[in-house]
Amino acid sequence: MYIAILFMAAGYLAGVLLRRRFTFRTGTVMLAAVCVLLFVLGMELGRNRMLMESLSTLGLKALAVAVLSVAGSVVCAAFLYRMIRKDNGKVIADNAEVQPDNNEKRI
Amino acid sequence: MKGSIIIVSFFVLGVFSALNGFMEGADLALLSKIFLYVLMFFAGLGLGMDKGLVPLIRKQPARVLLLPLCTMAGTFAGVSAVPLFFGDVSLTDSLALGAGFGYYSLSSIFIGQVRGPELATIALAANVIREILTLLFAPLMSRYFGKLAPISAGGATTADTTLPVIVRCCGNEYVPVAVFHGVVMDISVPFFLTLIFSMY
Repeated sequence: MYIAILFMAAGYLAGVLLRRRFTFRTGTVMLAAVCVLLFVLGMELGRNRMLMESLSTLGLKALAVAVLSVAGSVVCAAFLYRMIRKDNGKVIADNAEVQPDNNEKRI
Repeated sequence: MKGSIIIVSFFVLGVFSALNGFMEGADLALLSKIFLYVLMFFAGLGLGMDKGLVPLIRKQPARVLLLPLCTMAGTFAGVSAVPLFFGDVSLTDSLALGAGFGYYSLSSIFIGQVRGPELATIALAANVIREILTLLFAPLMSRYFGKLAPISAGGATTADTTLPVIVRCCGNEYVPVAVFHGVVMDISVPFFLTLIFSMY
């Protein structure tokens, strides 16, 4: 994962160096890559016979763990989000000038 | 939601392709690693081209940095309910399963060494499902629970695999929080697992 962060740092540097010459919308490329990664993830699951056979029994437990941990995290994060907003009305920044360039259709 | 349907259909397609022997000899780990790097490069490129990003990082309130603590507390509170549904899963086992925070490779290896293959398989699936849930439901989470919710749900994956989805749901300005959160969660996984296993 540190190598992956190095790739992002390289992309960031390229973006900073190139942004005066042209702009590039990265959303479509990223969606395509996410689709490939999910396809591969599906294949990894489909290939693993042990995982496929045990999914019916162990999968239910795994699903419960995943759903409950996501639910707990989401509720906690919603609480923090509200607490910050109540306090100063903003979470990240309130400057209207500094909006992200990437306002494309969300996934 | 349209994007989520596209993504889930690719996932299902992947499962059926593998079952039918498609690309049987291919090195999937290598393939996904390459695409992850492509993804990370373009995520970085998007950040670099965003002129407003550095001013945004400077304006970030310190309390956003409490988010990893929220994720830990929320996850452990959530998985504490697992023994209520499954009598044969102990509380310590449940906490260990939750402590993967979506980091399925490391947590399943760790759990496998201490608790054997059965719990490791559950850990692998649970953390893969956590990542998938985040990828699929991030738009709904950000809409109904605020923009920190998809980051907290993503756990340890928010610095890499779920980062692109978070960028698209929450915006580029949430990337520093997501990367910070992902790195902290990643590092915390072996520490929490060691702590939990010391309770057996």
